Amino acid sequence: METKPRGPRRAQPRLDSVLNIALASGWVMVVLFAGLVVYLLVRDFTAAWTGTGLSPFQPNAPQSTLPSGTQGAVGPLPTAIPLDQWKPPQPWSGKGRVTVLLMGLDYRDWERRTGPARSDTMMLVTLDPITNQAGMLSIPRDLYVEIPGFQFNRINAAYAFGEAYRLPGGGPGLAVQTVENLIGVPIQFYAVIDFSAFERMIDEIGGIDVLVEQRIKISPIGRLSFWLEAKPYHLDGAEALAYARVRKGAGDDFGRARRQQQVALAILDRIVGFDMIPTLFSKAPALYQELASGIRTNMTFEEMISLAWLALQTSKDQIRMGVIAPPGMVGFHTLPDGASVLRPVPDQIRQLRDQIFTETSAFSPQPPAAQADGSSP
Amino acid sequence: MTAPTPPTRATAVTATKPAPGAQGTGSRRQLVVIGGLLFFAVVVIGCALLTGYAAGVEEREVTRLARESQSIQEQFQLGIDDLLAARYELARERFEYVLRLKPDFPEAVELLNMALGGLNQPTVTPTSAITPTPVTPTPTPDLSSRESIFTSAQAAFSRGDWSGALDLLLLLRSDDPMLHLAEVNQMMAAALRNRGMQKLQSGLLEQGLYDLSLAARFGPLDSQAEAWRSSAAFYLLANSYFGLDWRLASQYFAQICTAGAWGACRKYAISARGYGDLLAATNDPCQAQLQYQASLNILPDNALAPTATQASLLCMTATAGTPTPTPTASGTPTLLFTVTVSPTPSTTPTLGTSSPTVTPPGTPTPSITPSASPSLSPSETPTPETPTPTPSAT
Repeated sequence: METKPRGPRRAQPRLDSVLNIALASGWVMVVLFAGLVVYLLVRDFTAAWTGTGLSPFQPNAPQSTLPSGTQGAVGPLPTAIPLDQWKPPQPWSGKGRVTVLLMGLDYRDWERRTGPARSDTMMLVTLDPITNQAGMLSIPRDLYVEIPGFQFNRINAAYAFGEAYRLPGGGPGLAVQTVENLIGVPIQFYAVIDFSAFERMIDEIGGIDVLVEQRIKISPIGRLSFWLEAKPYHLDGAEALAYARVRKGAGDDFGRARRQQQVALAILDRIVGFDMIPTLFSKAPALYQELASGIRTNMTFEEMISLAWLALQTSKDQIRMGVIAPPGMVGFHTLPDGASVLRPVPDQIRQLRDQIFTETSAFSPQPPAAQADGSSP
Repeated sequence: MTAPTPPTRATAVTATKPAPGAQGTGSRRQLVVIGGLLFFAVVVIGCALLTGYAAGVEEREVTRLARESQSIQEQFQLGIDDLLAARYELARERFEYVLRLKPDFPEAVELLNMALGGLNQPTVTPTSAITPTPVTPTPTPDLSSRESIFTSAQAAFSRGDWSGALDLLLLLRSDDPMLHLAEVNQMMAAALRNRGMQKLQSGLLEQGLYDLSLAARFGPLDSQAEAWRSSAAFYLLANSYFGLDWRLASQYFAQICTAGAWGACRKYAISARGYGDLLAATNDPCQAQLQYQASLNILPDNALAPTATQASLLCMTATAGTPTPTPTASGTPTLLFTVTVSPTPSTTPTLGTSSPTVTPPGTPTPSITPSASPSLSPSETPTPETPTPTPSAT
């Protein structure tokens, strides 16, 4: 008689425990499934980054095919000036200064399919993790320099030659070597950026704010041209790209180089100033796709992350900027065929180099803290 | 026999209304279970992250090796094409690249020798073929403490591994900027100076000048380094006019040529020829002939000789009977500048001490003594210097 009510009372805990076991099992299954998904995602994410998102231009083009407009003899015997032994760039120790050569390619070569593209933009970006100082140095594309193995030519032809002759380091390798010979600083990394990827990345971070200093007409790709007045603007990806690339007026190539630096700083401002880190994390897969498909670089993904982190740590007032530009740093010359080129004036360029690289280096008799406090450009 | 205690009642009571202690145990058990499940989740996700990353890295490495192998094959084939097309310099570079990645590639050594033969350079034996890394084994630096980093930096410095020493000194500086400040500065200055000199001697001029600029932040450079620095800067100035202003290029390279360094004579010859063409085009055959002569003296060229002869004849006509010797490629050189090139014996670094003025093991130091246009000459005459090493107090 006393045991009668015990039936349902015993069944309840049993039911509870069955339910608990089922829930726990379900949890375990979910966790295992999530683990599998995470494993696959991380594996693919890590493995996918090969650092060579952009394919070389026309990899099957005949070796001698060169873009029109490249001056000088690039004939079958480029032996007059020795071709330096190509070496992979020195690895970055993580402690010393790191320098990246950023390159944009000339769209016109791409569109014309006349051969490998020349570099449209060349900018050295440098960061010193010890002094927390950074710098940007823009190199005009018409600078007439010695390209190892290919005699003298415009500096923007180095990339095309490296690609056309399929040199071991390719176009970026020869471009890096040429810029190292011109500026003297070791360059550890290069990044060749696809214009459309640049556009989309700016759109992903919600555009950038720039102060237009001089009235200028821009032509975003696929849109009508319009004028930007001398005032602040918020630009989306296409507009930012057009603003950075426009050459006519406002100082031509040199003004353009300054605008490119302005855009680079605006991107940094946008990321830091708007506390974009959580947004960037949420958009990481999309950004990653853009980076992986739109950038050709020798950086590993881990190196990219640590460099980006380093850049975010750098205060804007610790960034020195320079453009190799007249007066003084270049001379205007005309080649026998009528093409205009720029002669680099080595000692003047060296002074600018020293302002950006030497004076901000951790190789200093003063400890870095004292250096950061006391030095100014 | 004692009567059994009726447990049922108590049990029933417990089942329907648990005691406060039992209820606590139950919820604690629940917490433990939930905690365990969460822990399990963390462990599983953590393991998935780590193993996924490791697998990704491994996969990436496999892809890299596959690409490298493909690149070796491609460069080897392109090297053969270049060799057949007599593009020896490109062929050399490709075979050296192949051998750097795959030293045990006898066919590449053979073809590299053919390329070097085409360039009139000494050939390599399979054992002396390009090696991917320096042969001298470098001890792994001890980075366990700041003192050990400092000691490792001193050791790297002593064996002349300037880059290694500089990396370690930077590491030390980033960890503790004030540690051994004077000694670290002294070693940094010396290593930068010596690496800069090495780069200058190997033809990396702007790179060497950059190192010397960094070294100069610590104090004035010694006279030898200053002399090399100004010579290199002068060469680069001359080089900037190459192809753009043959007159200045020719003038400047003529002076650098006296030292025989950095292939300046070849550039002088080309510049003189270019300047000669310019003069010939502006109806100054006598000056043109002098430039052609200077070019031929350095770089005999069968194609240029007739042009030089023609310029000479035109000059004779123009000067109406004033005889001028006809230039020939093998004729007696008419030097525009009296030069003295006196290589000096190389010196070796003083090992075992961290001195700021150690002379790197090097090649002969050029001694330039231009006797013409002194204002255009390198500002200093590089003279060998044997500095007294200053041992550091460590």
